[in-house]
Amino acid sequence: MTFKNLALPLITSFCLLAFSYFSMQIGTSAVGFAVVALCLFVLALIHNFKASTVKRSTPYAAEVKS
Amino acid sequence: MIDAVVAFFVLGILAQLLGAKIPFTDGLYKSLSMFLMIAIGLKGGIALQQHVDSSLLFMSMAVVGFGLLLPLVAYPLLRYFGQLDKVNAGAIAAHYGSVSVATYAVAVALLEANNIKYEAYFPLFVVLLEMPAIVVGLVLAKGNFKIINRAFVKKELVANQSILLMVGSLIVGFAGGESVQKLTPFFVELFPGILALFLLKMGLVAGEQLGALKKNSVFLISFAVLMPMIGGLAGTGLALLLGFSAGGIALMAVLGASASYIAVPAAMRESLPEANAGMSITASLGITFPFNVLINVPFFIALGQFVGA
Repeated sequence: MTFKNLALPLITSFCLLAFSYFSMQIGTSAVGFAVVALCLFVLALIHNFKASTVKRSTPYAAEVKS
Repeated sequence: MIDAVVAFFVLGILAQLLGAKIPFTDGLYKSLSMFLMIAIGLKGGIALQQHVDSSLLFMSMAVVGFGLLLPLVAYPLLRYFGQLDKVNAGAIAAHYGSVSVATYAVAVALLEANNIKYEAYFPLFVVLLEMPAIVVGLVLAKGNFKIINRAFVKKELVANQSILLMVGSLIVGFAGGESVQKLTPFFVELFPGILALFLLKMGLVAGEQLGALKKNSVFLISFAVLMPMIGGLAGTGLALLLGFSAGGIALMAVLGASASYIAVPAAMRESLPEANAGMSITASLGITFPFNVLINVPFFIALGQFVGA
């Protein structure tokens, strides 16, 4: 996964956390924003990990085939 | 505590995820959406009888400008971060510049449940925000203005079902005088119940769309969550500039945050058939709509009260 792919999930998670903080300041529930931020961050990390593993294993797979 | 009307949306998602079969015909779904559009227009028209203002023209122009601006914010995000081609980026940008009548209806129901007042002319703004994003999205996708011809304007503006129903009922509500009161038991008092039924169906559809999140899922989820926050904040700013009440600020934010899943997909299917319709619908209906209904709308109502106090 490139920087471009990972940047938007991170920006979004940061904005969600900012909204969560602001929700607390104005006296409304902050849980929704925080949960979505956490889920998105974890999902981005898993996706990033999977993408990097696939990239590394491809040349090996190609080598075995040949 | 979750609002009772919104709870039906959650019930719909749960039913879909658990595989429960809830028979909901297309005819009923279309009838319910027609009811909501007529009810919103009528309510606006009735309220407008007492609140006609010369500043409405200036406000309408500002709202159209807002509708033109939103897809221009979404497009670079889709092109740069999502690396989407011009056609798909333009199509999705159009969805996010336009509005969702159902999200607006949820916001109205929540405002009324909490006795928060809002400006009567908002149904007019809902109508005005339907079209500009479609035009901008198509121009961005095609790279020229050739697609905006007379046939396009006639089909998308004059004969557009939602625009026709909402503007028509707004005029009926405004010009009908005392006789409109005969319609209020059906269109006004039954509004929350019908909206709950409609949201049950929307929950079923949104649950179905969640399963379609595979390719580009992380980017699509991020975009579909970030864009309503940007649009909502921009809407809040515009409402403050226009001097709206607390309820008006919340509604303008919700209009900025919402994404279309009825009018724009139909227009894109017609004018941009090469665009991936599944991706736009998954983003607007599967992610943005639930995010708005469950999290963003209550937040923007609270924000409206905070900044409008």
